[in-house]
Amino acid sequence: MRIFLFTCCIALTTGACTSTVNSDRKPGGNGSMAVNPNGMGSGATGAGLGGSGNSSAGGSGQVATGSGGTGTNAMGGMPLTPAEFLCPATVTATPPARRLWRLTPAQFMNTQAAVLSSTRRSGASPLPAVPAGDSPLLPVDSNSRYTTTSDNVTVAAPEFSKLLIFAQTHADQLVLSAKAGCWANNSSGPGLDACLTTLIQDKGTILFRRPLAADEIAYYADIVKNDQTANGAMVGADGALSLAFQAMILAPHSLFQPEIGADVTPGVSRLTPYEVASSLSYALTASPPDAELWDAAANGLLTQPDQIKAQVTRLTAGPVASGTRGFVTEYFELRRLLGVPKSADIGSTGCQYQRTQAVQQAEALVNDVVTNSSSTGFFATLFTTPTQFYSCSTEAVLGLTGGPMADQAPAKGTSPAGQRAGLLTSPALMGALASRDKTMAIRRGKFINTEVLCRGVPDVDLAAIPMLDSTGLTQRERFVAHTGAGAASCAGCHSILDDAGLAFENYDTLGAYRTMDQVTPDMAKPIDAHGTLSNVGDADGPFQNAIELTTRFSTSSTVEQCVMRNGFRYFMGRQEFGYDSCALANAQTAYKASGGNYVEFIAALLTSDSFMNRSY
Amino acid sequence: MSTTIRRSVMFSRRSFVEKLGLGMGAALLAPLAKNFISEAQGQATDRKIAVFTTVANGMNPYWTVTPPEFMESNADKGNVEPGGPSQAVSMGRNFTVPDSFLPFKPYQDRMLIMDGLLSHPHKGEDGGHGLGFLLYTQVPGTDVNHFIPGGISFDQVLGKTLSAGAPRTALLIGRGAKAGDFKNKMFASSRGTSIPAFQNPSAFFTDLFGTGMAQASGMMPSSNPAKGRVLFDALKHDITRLQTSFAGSEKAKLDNYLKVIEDHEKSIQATANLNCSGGTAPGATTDDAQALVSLHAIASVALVCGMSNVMFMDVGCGDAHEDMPALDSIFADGTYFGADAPRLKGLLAQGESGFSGIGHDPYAVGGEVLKATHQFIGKLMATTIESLKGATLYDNSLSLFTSDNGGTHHSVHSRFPMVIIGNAGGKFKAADNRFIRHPDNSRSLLDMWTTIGTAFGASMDGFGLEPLEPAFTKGVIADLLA
Repeated sequence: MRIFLFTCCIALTTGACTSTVNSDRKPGGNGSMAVNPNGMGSGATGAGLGGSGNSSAGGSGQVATGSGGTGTNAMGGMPLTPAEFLCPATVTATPPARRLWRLTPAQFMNTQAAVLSSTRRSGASPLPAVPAGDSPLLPVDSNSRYTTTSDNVTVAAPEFSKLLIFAQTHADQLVLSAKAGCWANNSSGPGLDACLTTLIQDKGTILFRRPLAADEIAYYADIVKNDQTANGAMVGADGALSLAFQAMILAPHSLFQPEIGADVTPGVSRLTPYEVASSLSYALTASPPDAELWDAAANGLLTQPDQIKAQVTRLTAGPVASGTRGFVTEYFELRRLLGVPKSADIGSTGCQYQRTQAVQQAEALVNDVVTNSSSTGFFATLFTTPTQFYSCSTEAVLGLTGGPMADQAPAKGTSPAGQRAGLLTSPALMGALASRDKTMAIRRGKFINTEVLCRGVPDVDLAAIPMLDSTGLTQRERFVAHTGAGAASCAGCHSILDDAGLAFENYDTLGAYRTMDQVTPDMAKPIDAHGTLSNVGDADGPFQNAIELTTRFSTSSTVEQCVMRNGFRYFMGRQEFGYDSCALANAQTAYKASGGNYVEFIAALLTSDSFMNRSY
Repeated sequence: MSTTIRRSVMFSRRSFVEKLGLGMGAALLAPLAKNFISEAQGQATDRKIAVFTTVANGMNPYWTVTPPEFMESNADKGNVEPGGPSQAVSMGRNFTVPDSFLPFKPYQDRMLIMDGLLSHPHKGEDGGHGLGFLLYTQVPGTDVNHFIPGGISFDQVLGKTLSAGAPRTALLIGRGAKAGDFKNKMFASSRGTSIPAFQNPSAFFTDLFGTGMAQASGMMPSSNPAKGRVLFDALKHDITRLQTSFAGSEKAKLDNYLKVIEDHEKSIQATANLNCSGGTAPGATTDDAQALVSLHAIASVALVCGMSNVMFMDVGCGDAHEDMPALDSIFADGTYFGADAPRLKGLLAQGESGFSGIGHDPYAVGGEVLKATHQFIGKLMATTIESLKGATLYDNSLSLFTSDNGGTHHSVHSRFPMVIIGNAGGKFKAADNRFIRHPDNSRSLLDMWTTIGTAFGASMDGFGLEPLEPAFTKGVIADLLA
């Protein structure tokens, strides 16, 4: 078999792959700077790629909204330096604009389950069972780094068709539940108005995450009464109530979290207690506020940071806490493997290798770290833990034995010495950052640079690059072409990509540890994973392999800040910009002061002005 | 003797829509009806149509299903298990239409009422619970409780011939309180191979007209365009109000949502001119009566449009009277029973346990409620007959209404009353306004199905394969064949 390689994967056309640490902002999606709420744009140097906006008009509900910014905000497009994690004495930037944050599929379904429940759930209780079937709301498209993003996410046509069907079915269920209450005897007659008020308020407060105003109740009640008049009472009563419930389920107040706030100064508002409750609850539990949070909002106890922090602490320790697990899972792209087919000789049943097993066990590891390492050195643990979860399906990949059957709970074990260090070396991520039969060192190098070091790497048109015969060569041998004679234009990017990627050559296409590279069926060559990082602050320096590299990451402030930036994006649903310096700085300070307690980090974010304030 | 009639279609849209206007099914099908009218005009057909409907809890011959002038001298409305010897009536003509069958009065010139038919016993017993499961197979089931159909059911026998070339062999719909029992055990393509009946109008519509069509046509919540407009107006109202609080890209999200809704409305308007390939779908409902109305309306359209030539609707027949769906809403107002609705609602409230227990109630309660139930179902059937008349299919049709138990819900396997409208294209001798009571269970349901199948020219091979006692297999009832 003849193997070809691109002579140069990353052409130095934009200046992005210079020797400085850079923003990872990329056009239209993850790193996009599109979210400058004031239209200021980014600024600083040409390195900022600016936001081109998401152009997808497909099923994800993301709309084409054009360009983002190329202008002037304090952090846009520039390296995220330690200085930018400092909170200035006077904040001159304006807060983010009022926002409509569309619910994620999980948030939507959990909300519908809550509405169907007869009472508001206590925080100590599990979530009610979600309605059967898939969510009519679709995940954001693959250009978005996090499922929680609010950037340009609206309701698309395919979603609306599904929503209509869902709303009808669900509203009928709500009518059925209403019949167990006042509706049984008051679907007409003198008790109708009072019953409607009760039903609309009860369901509406969960759907809208706030009490409904009198005029809103009257509006939905009129839908019921007018429909009854138009269609008669035979089947009209229930149908009319269902219609009103459908209108509520599909209302923008239901599908979106409106962040409007109450004025604090001209042009600046602060989230109301109910808006805080909604955002907190969805961020940390992917569900609407529980009884305790609702009561706190109703009693005005979500206006001060300490009040909010108390709720954050409670929710992150509660039985349905999902925010941190969700963030870590998405940050390390642990489910990406599900979309990466592997060779046909790999089985999919029993104790043969299964991608789903690898992903589930990586998520089990996340859960383990969140559960057992939350209060000390949380982020560091993500990069260093030797713990792995495994079954008979993945034990060979992990170099372990005695794993349970795939349909049983995975076993918890420790990787052989020197083979694994945290989630970067997990089979799930290593398998995802490989193709069916190649390890794809460039892909791995790009992940390290963009996601771990927050150093931007541009996308390149690979089709425009000539390929050379690489049969019998290791990845490192192939990469010589990147820096050899005639490849000067390639060196800018490949100098930062190659070593970071080659560091993980000890992990094959499934993420199994190896020391030899089977370059042809008849020839294997030793793995050489050494390299050097430069211009990434305290992550700089030589390393022998991925274990050394990730161990360094665990103590690097550069990496810690990058993880925190990503945490900000996940929990805030948007990119960070100049106004957010204080939020990030305070989050890092709180995290360090606590010895690495992730709750302190999240609490600092979710009590910050970045979370609370909006401009208009 | 009647013959197949060929003439131009004179479909009465007004009649059809008015008849459908009994409930939620009407408006949703109005656009569709309008179009198959025009599509059908000028065409002629020799299609033959079979429409069968059954209801649980029996039809007590002493209550409201026997013409009063032919009521037996020993009839006792208090006798809830009336089986046994009966007084033969072979050619009673010009009878008074009994109360339960009043909706069929306009078709009395083609009406036949029969009494005294015998059903094969269920699981070795005299009948009673579970008899419904072999109503259309007449062969004991394959499991210990005879719950799994013992052979091909009559709907499939008819469908193989009548629906040859049509998209569906038979339109199988209904509603039962115990969904699993009901939908999986009444109909079968062969011994042990059940065919579920549709209980969900939306799913039934989608099955007939396709998901794509259903979605394109709206799948509108609340089942009709008027309600859809209310819904969309409400959403637009909410969006417009909220827009005032946002600007820029955030307002654009609402602009986009608004446009999606407006585009959806346009697509619905565009589909208002659909022909028999689709229409506006109804949605799921928790109201059994509403579901039956919608299911029946869709099936009626599908029949006229040629999706199938066989339609079987089953209302709660199955293991026991607990399978009876809750039809309480038919008494909710005056839609079906006018000023009598409150009385009927009150009677139902006096019963043992609503519709599920109606079979245990005495005549003063159960008889009246069952009569009303039969009338409600009869009204649905009448809408189908009207649509068949409009499409010149009436002359080629046969509509039959009976119960899963003769007598009452606990009856021995005897005395199955039924009413039949139509002559199956002239082969079935239903005209002359006849009432027939076979004495002493001298003929069986198997004989009746065989006779009807023969009238339709259907092959009866494979039907009733299980060796049965001679009393159940005497063959066609020659007197009923023209």
